[in-house]
Amino acid sequence: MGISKELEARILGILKDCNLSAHTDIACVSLLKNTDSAQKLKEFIKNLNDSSDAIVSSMGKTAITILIHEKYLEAFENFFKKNIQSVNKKAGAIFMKCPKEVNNTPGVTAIVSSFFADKNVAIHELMASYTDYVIVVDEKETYKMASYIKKTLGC
Amino acid sequence: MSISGAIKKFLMEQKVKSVLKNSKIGATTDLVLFNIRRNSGSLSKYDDLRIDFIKSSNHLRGAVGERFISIIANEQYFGYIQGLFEGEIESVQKKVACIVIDCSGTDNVSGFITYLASILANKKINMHGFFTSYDDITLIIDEEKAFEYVEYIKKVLKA
Repeated sequence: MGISKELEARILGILKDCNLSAHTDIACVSLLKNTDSAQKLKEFIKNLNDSSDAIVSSMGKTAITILIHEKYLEAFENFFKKNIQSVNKKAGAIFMKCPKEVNNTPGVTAIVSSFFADKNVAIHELMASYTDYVIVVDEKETYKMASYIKKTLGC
Repeated sequence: MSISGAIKKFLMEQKVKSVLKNSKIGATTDLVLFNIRRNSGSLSKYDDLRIDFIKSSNHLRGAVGERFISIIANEQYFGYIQGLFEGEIESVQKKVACIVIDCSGTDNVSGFITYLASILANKKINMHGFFTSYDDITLIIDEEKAFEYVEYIKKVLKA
């Protein structure tokens, strides 16, 4: 990968203290980034029984991407209709809550994503927010990858 | 690395490079990054902020994670956002830049993010945030390194 062995060892040492969890039955939906989507998204999340069921989201240049529990997908699709750009059903997500040192260490994202490249698993979305990572992959790869990462890191 | 490992890595890199060759890359500077603790109050404020900024076509990007909300906005809104989330701010990073890579077809390419992130790591450039959203990838780094990185990645892709 080109990262020095010393840096790699440092990063693996930091990541050893991360808290890792995995979830399946997730849908990853991308909405057009416009006022209508943003307003509807607020309304939709407000009406969920549990707001943590709209797990995470990211907002880029042209899209708002959101991970929701699959049980809400039909309602979500009916609610947003034309604003939906893509839907990735049968997704899974791996959550890594990392120590604060990840913020001052170059190469953490490269190492985290390399676990997936090692196993030839494509990452559909990756969101790094402060010290936490969310990595979206195919549902069938989720637990395999979570177990591989846990074993590799010893966390 | 074994020969088969080296071949696998080479083929993966070629595939990633071929996807990236059709991408567009650019940088926006004069931004500020807020990391805010996630709770029902901060989520609701973020939702409102998102609506306001999209309505007024202002630069706003962000990611909502399990514990934190990251917001990247123009520096001129520093005071406004700081006031809005008072008491909920975990960290603030001024003078940051967004590197945005517009590319499609990356969904099924393994090693894509590793390739991009390694380019930064090799240059010892620290990332303050990273997130994908549909066809674009946003990387947040220190402003002073932004254009250097854009030029460097363009050079690597041409090689």
